[in-house]
Amino acid sequence: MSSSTFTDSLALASLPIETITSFGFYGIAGIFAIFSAILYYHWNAYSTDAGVTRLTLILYFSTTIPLLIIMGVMTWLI
Amino acid sequence: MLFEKIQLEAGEEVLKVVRKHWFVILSELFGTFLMLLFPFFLLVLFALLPNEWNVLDLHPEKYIIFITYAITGWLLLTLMTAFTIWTHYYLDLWIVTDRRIIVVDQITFFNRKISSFRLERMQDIKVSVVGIIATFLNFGTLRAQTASAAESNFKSTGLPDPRGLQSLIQGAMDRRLTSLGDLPIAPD
Repeated sequence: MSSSTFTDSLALASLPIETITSFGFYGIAGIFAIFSAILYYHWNAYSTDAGVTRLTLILYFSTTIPLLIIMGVMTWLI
Repeated sequence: MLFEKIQLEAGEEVLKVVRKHWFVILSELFGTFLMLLFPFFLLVLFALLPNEWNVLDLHPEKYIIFITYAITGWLLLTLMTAFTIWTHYYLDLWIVTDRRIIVVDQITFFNRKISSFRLERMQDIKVSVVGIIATFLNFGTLRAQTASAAESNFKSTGLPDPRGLQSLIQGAMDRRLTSLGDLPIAPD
């Protein structure tokens, strides 16, 4: 089985694989944006320590944003 | 920040802020750590498969872009889960002051319960430490009963040093009752 056959078989209901991966990326990016806003609000509103809040948010954005960028690049490459 | 929202009374002093024991968060985060490793485990498994078993011709090197796409998506969702666990752990707390106990229960992001119990209405505090790990690491459940309706009773699991917390609350209760004139001051 060639690589194109495998990727073609992934295409559900005759949707091209590029469309599926794009939808996947936009879906995850949307979930990420909403989740980040909720997380940011909760830490700023309910935390007891500004230092822990800052550290948590820095750690969160510095680990997740690069992953989102990589995923976006891979979507573009597909 | 939280203390601005709670609005402590004039002269009210925070005696202790208590969160669940570190073992509780560690055991919850262990699951997400396994989730993080899962795609890499699958990759290793596929790489080690004998060729005759690999009927779909799934060789990771051929689909590097798809695999990177899937793994980054998976890692992103896993990290979001881990930060949710950390947020619930950190925002879930007990604040013991010299006048009351404030219990903040962060159940989900949109389900947050804040209860306040005045020390002078507290009647009974029970501590239970169950299990080998809880005994060795000194964490357990604390139940407190108030003089008001049964719904006002509260309970929290996985609290560190529950006996120390119990004695802190009881000491604060005694001082509160003494200051209100309900308890005779013990002679020295």
